Amino acid sequence: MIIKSISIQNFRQYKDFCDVKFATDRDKNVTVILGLNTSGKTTIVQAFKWCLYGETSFSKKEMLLNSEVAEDLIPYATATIKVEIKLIHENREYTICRSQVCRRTPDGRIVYDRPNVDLSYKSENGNTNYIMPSEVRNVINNILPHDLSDYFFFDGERLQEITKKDVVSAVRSLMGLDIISAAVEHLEKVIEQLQASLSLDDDELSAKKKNELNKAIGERDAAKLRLENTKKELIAAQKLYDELSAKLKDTESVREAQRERENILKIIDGAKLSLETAKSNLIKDFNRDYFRYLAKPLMEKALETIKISTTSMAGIPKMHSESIEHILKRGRCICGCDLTKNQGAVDNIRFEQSLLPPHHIGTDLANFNNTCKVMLQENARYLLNETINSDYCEIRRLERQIADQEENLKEISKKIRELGEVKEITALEDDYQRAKNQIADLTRRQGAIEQEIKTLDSQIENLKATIDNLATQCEKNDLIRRELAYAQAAYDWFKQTYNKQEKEVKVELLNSVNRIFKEMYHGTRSVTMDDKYSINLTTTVGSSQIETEESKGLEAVKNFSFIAGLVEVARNKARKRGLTNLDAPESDNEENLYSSEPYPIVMDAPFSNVDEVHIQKIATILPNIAEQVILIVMEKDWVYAKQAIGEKVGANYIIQKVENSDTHSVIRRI
Amino acid sequence: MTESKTELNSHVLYKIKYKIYNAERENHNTKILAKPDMVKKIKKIIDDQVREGDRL
Repeated sequence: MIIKSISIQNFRQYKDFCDVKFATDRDKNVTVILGLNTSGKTTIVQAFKWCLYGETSFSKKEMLLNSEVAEDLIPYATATIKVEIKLIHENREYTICRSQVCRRTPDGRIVYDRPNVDLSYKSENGNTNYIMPSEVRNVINNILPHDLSDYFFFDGERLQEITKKDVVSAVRSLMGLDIISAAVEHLEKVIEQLQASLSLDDDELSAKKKNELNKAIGERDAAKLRLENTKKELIAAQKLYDELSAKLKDTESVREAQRERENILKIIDGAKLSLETAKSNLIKDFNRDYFRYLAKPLMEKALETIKISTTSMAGIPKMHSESIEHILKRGRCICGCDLTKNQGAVDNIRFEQSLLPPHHIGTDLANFNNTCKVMLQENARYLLNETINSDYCEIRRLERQIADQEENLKEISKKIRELGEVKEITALEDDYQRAKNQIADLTRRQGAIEQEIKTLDSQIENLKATIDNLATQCEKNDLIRRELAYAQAAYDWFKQTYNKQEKEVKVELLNSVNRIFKEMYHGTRSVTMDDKYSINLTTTVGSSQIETEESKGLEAVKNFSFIAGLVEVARNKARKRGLTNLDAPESDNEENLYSSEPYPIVMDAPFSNVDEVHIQKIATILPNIAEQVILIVMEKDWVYAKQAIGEKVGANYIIQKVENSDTHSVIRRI
Repeated sequence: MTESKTELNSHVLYKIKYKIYNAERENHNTKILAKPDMVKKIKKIIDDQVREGDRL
């Protein structure tokens, strides 16, 4: 990277457009810009940083716009800050232009828009190609890494005192420690996360489930075996049952005969019972009516005999002579007539008394006559003859029936005797029943086993699904373990790299510093750096190194040597292409070699507070540490430096304050 | 852990290192990405590379 030019407008003091073309000639590679205090020397270095990286080290970041321009800005008006750098990197000319629009608001404030960066390069055919905005930052970082920029755009005041912090930060950024330590830090977290995502329980659970699965499969196989056996038993039982059924079918006729016999016996019993009833009915009917039956012809005869038509014979029915006696005794008739005074009535009554029993047979005969008539009349209703007749017929019928059935019984019994023994049939029936029960039992058992197998099947399916799920997790675990191993390996590598590079950079830095120190200082002293990055000067006394006291001048030389060493190491670092120090498995080492790309150093006030002797020594060394040197110095310092490097100067500029204003400077070529 | 470590593919490992280094450098240079994102990003780099290694 060689800087061709920088043009500045509205940036701090540089109100007008200023264009500085730097010396790029190999022999005359020094550009000197002279300036007084507060004229804007530091602003030039800051313009470089702002253009390339969008940052400055000004305490008031918002004060980038030239104060005079800002003052003149009326509401709604805008002004643009613009810095443009032209540089050559790897034989390609780049133009980087950063601009920022500032506007005055109605309430008087100045508002800054977002800065805009354009990065373009000229291709071989002369066309201008623009880099995509998203890539600009990366391309600039590729040209000159931001981390290392501090050593190329150097603030001279830091020469005065090299602090331990400077050394540490130099070593860190030079070896990319920030990057590596961040990687280490992040890898630690990654490893932590990966370990947390490992699910060890799943492995154990998977093994347990597999055991359960094997057990279930074993149980299912056993159940299947049992089912087979049961089926065989069932077939056997069915066969037995069929045989017994056939046998029983043969004995069916016997049983039928038996049933018939039982029926006949029942009929006989019933008929016998009916016979008894019929007999008793006959007797009952006879007993009830025999008198009338027998007396009927006699009564008819008697009635013929006593058929005497006389009313005289007829006394008062149901009246007894004692009743009349009672009426006479009391002296009053039932009609109410006083008998004591009516003898005629008494006589009449006495006559009636004479007709009454026990004195008169006529009354009894009349009674007998009536009774016979009633009885004969009743007798007409009772058909004793028929009743007895029908009773007898019923008895006969039953007797015949019993006789018939007994005849049948005899025949059937004979048949049963011929067919076989009842006992055998019972035994056969028992066997048949047992076989039937066994079949029912076996069918039940078969159903239960089938159900059991079904349950085990679904259990096996579930277990398989669970194991599959767990297997996925186990696979995940395997992957995580591998990732973990890689993360651990990467972590170890970054740690090792950290230590290795730190050591390397420290050695490299110390060598550079010592070499440069020796070029400027001709004595026995040398620079050392301890583990804690403290820089000291030592001298050899006898065979041991001892620390020496330093004069102010010597300290300045030491510090400059350190800065120059840093710049050198940084330049080497910037020249390394691609990824540094990765122990690549493939032989792409060529990419890691140093390129011969030149680098500039832009130093702001490098000679402040250094005496003339050392200014000369520092100036001598400057063109050796960079291919292009841009010095921004005070004229009083340049007088001494000029003696050392005057002939290498290719361009001279001076910063002038316009009308002695602190807010308006211009850069002119001299 | 030590067993599987011996099986690490050096090419995969190199790619992981390279990508992490570049991701960190990009982060370091731009400071755009937040740190927790870097952890995720690195995890993804490792994951992707290991899977890619598996495919190979």
